[in-house]
Amino acid sequence: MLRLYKSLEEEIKERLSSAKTSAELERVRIDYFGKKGKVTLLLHKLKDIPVEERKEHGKELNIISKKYQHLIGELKNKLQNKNRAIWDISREGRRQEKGSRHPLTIVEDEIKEIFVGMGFEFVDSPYIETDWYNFEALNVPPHHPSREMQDTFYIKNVPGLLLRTQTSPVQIRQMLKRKPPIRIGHIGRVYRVDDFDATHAPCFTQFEGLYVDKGVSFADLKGTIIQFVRELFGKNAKLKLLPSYFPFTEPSAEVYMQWKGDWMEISGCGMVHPNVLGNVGIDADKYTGFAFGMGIERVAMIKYGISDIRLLSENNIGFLNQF
Amino acid sequence: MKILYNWLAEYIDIDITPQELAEVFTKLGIEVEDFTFLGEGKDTIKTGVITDIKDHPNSSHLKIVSVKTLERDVQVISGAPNIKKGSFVFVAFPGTLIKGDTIIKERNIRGIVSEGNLLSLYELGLEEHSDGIFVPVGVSLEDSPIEYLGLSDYLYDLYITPNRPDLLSVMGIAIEIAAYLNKKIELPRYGVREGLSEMFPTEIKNTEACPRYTSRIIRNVKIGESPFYMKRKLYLCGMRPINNIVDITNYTMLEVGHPLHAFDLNKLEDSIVVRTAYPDEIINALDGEEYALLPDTLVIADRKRALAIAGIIGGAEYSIGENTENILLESAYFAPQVVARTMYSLGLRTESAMRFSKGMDYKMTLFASQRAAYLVNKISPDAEVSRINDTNYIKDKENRIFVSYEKVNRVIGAQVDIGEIEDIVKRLGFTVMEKDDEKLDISVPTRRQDIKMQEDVIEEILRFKGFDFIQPSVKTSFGVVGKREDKVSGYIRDIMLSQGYYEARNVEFIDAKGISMWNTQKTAAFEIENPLSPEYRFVRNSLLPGLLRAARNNFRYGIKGIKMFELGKIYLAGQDKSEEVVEESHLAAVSGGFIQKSWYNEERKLDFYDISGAFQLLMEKLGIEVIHSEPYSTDSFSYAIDIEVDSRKIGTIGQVSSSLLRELGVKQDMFFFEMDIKNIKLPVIKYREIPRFPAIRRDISIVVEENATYAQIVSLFKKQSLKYMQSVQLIDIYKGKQFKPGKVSMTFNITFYRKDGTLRKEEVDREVERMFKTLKDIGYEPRI
Repeated sequence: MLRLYKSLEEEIKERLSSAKTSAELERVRIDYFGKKGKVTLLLHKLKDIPVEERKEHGKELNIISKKYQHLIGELKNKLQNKNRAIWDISREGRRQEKGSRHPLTIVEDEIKEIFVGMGFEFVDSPYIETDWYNFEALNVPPHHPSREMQDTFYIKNVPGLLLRTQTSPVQIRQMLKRKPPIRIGHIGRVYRVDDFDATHAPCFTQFEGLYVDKGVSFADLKGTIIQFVRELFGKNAKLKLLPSYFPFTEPSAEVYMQWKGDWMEISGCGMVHPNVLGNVGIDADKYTGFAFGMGIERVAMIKYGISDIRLLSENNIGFLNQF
Repeated sequence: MKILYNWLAEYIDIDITPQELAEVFTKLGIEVEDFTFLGEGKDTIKTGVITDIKDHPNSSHLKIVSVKTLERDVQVISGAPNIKKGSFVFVAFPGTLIKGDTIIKERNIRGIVSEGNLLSLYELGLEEHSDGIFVPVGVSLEDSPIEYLGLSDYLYDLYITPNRPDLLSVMGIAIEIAAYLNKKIELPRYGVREGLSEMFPTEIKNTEACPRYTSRIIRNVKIGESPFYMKRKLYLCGMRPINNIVDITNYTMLEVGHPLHAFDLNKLEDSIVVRTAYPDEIINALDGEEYALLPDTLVIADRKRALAIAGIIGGAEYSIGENTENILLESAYFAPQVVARTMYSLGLRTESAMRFSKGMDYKMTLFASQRAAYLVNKISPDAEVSRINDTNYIKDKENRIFVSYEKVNRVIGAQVDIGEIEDIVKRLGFTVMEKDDEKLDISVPTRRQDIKMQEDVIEEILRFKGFDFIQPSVKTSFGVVGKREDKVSGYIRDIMLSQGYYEARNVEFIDAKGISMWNTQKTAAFEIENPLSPEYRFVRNSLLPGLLRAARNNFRYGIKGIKMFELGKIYLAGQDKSEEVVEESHLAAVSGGFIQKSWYNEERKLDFYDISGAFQLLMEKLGIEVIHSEPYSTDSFSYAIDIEVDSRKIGTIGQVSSSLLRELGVKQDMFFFEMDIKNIKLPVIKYREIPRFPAIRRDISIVVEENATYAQIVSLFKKQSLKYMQSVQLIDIYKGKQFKPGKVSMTFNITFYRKDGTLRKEEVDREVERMFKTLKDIGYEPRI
């Protein structure tokens, strides 16, 4: 295509092929395309060429200028890449030691996020309780057979004081404090006389939820639990409810979730017993409510595949730094 | 509670498989804890007859027994004392599964091959202890041992919730299952010719604790072993066979639910008196223990002595023995709270106590006695039975409940068909007395003590219908907003994590050593009445013992350095009244050991400034001004400084003493802080203008006393109020030979900055000059 500047192009090509460094390439650029470069000067001199030929000349020179300046740029890049410093990505880079949240905290945070989203207000509640809050107000009078279900740690020399066996006293405390609608959640420790083994611990963490208002039904309880479990374990989590007994709910149920083929009990729940509502002065004819409780250790164990509950209180750093 | 499939089938015509029955239990809220086929691995047991017995050449007590079975003749080595030529035996061929998960194999016993085992009832899982092999009677070689032994049966171990004592029997379960499967129930046979006209007088002193006491005399009984079927069922269902009369009372209890008791009539004087215990009264019970009775313990006595603890256990002296001829059969009703109280205070959880304490059906007293009398008469046909002496103070009160359809639907949140409600209620054996468009008026049988109100009936409806028909919904209420209560601890947690501390969660129990660790005025910790172990004797009054325990364990696992924190509650007993419970929310952190060497880090010991740095950053971020106390030391801390906020001590920071570390078994130096965060609020963040003009920095060194504090030196810099000085950062501490002993050189990087424009070098020079002058005036020699 080029006819007029063929030799000039050959010359540039020649020069470029012998340039080995970035500086030599720059020299070539300056010699041809710099302020006083050959091509630049030729472009300036275009005006001396007769009009009818000027266009042709101009076109050719512009092509050369564009093409070879671009090429010089690319050649420079190539050279630079060759000279780049070598870092070893496989080496462990400098890092700060990072602490980690305890897995129970992670689960707690997730639960709270889900339930705050559903309008639950989380509250605190004491771990050392009185017999009245832990049992009597929850429809478990002294010597009631259901006390056998939970073996209790008692405080020495202070009759009536105990380590709560369940988070349900929070229901009583909050219902005494508030008026319906009441929608609260609580996560805290509970204690039962039970030796440590792979699935038992004398103290563990429970999540309690309570919702009392006009027209709250078992269908709402079911909906709330399904929504929660799907949020926590994924949309495909399979649940089933089975009848159960708790002194402070009627009707009562247990929630089972299918996990790796097995049905695992994850929660106890039910409609707040009219006697419990009566004990806190809420009119059971007007209001209904649901309540549920859930062991957080169990949730963490399912979620992370932890086989031994003791790992959750041993605080082994090799364990903690996995979270 | 244990129950056998075939025993249940005696009362209902079950047309579902044992597996399906287990599923029905689960659906009804009766948890199946265990479910086993008794004949598992036992189809290789055959009936045989002993054809020959020879002495074992290498043993004085073993015999070589030849046994003929239908399949083949085998040779078995046995040491059983009761082998006899011609007697029938059950032989286990190799592959048979026997008691204790043992599998029978062909074995060489002292040089002779034994091709199987002659089985005892113990090995068959039907007896606690056997003296010899089992010798079946009335069998032929064609008979299946599994059938003969009743082992083609299924055993369920059920968890019966405490509200359903009516399910603590085969008949109770049968009624429940029959209701669910819509079947008829067949009552066991009962009653007997009541030929004796005599009656044993009864006096009830405490009619509230014992509102009903029935007894009958049975004379001329023959004491002996119970029939095989009875012993087998008792044993499989968890009761030890004793003798036929005791077994009958237990069998009746398992069968119909109501506990009975039998006394040796000849040992009783005059009459039965139901009363509370006399002062210092004791009883030698059937379990071999002596019990000191409490003033509220209800006893069954005669004119002279306590014969039994009512509803719980009998006295050994008056029980049925081999020489007993005449008995007094008791069937009574005791108030649940009365039995529960005694059961707990004496720690006596007998099968009888467990049932009475949960509330039995008082209407069963007569039926249970009738059934037991029937069984006595069957087993000991010469026995003569008297009429029942029924002392009854119970006023029968009908349990009527209204079930409103509207309420059922409102509580469930789904529509249940009116006809279906009525059907379920009727199947459960509740009687519909009246009904209209809005409600059912039902009468509940005494057997269902747990049904007291409408909600209880709603639960029954759900148990029978299941929960699948309920469409899930999520209701919202106006004015109820979700929020969290733990934002402050979340904020604190994030800061601790950013400093490389791992979050720990410790058990809240600590030992006696632990409670003295935390230095506070209110050191009293709550002690647990019934701790699991001395290690867990107290409720923690500090997070430190748990963290140090965790640190020790981590060092043992080979971890080199520990940085760990915990957020949690601690409890202090109030100073004045011990009932006062002081609850605090604490944050504590510990660190110690080494930062490990890497290609970019020198190995170095973690020291005080590692923990104090995290602490200071935390306080800065929380916007809290703290006051430090003078350093002090205690037994637990070799160096401690109290932290005060608003003139209240909120915590301590320092180093753990070497004596405490030695006791804990920690070899590294440990540093800590712990503080109450109850009153800490989230910081109110207010934006400060960021620098818009370049700052100028100068390094200034100054030789100071070795023990001069950072705060003291910085205050020296700040003595002259300098307009542009922005911040002071300690960048080096140097202890060289060129300085006098006891002196060090500290280098500070000082930042100068001007808010309203670019700072000129000369402006900084002037400030530095002024600072130098002040320092020199008080005897220091600052250098650039």
